[in-house]
Amino acid sequence: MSEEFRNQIYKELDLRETDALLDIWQSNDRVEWSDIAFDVIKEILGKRIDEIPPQNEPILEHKEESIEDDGLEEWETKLLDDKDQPELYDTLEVLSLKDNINKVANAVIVVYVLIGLLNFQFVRMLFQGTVLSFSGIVQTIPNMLVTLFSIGLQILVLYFPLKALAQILRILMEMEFNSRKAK
Amino acid sequence: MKENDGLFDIKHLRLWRISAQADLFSKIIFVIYVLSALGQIFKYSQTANTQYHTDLLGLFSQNPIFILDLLLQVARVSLQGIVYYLVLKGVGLGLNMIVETDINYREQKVEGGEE
Repeated sequence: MSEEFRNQIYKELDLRETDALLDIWQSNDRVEWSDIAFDVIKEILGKRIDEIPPQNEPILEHKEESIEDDGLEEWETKLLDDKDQPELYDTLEVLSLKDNINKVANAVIVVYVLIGLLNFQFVRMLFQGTVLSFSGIVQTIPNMLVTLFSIGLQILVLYFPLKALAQILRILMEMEFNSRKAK
Repeated sequence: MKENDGLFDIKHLRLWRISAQADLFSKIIFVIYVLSALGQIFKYSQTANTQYHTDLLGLFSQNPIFILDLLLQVARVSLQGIVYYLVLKGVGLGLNMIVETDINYREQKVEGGEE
């Protein structure tokens, strides 16, 4: 069973490029990779290169608190920490723009829902100190439905393009980052 | 294949120009919408004068709902300006990222060719 498991890991890791294996070997992340995986990587590297480089100090736990403190995801921290920074744009600017886009998308919902509520006749009358009767509320239902539809449409038109833009920016930045690594 | 040997060619220049224009327009539009949001206060002040024959504060004391109404209208117009600003800014940065990605791949190709 153990041998079978080892062979399976060997097959999977043997498909990876030497550089990728060297990265795993040197980073020595014992949280992400098991001891068997490191044994296998050592064996594969031994066959591919003459001298296996030394490993870094083993990583026994991931320090997630710094990422949480900054409010950044792991990949965002990786982009910011990369030595090879882009020349035509600022990584931090894109990350903060993406963050602001998400915030504004949520603000759009809040503001438009409040505007919609204020357009309901019974809400306006409540502010003026009078309560609309039940039959009065029933009479305003068609008007309420039109308002709801109109507000819903306005939210959709603003919310989804903003969310899409945030995702597009994220994907473009990842693509640019990968093209840097390919250099 | 290309007339110039530089990695930053005419197509990149075009995209970079559009990106710079989007960045400029984003700022202009933001200023216009901030002014337009302030214009909402003027609009309400005019309504108070013509329809209720009072000033803005008088209107608010007569109908407190107008305070919320005005605040939400200012927020709506400001939000529209912010949305246009962010979209234009995002387009500008997105184009720059596309140019950077293409240059990275070209650089890789050139280096591969030299080897």
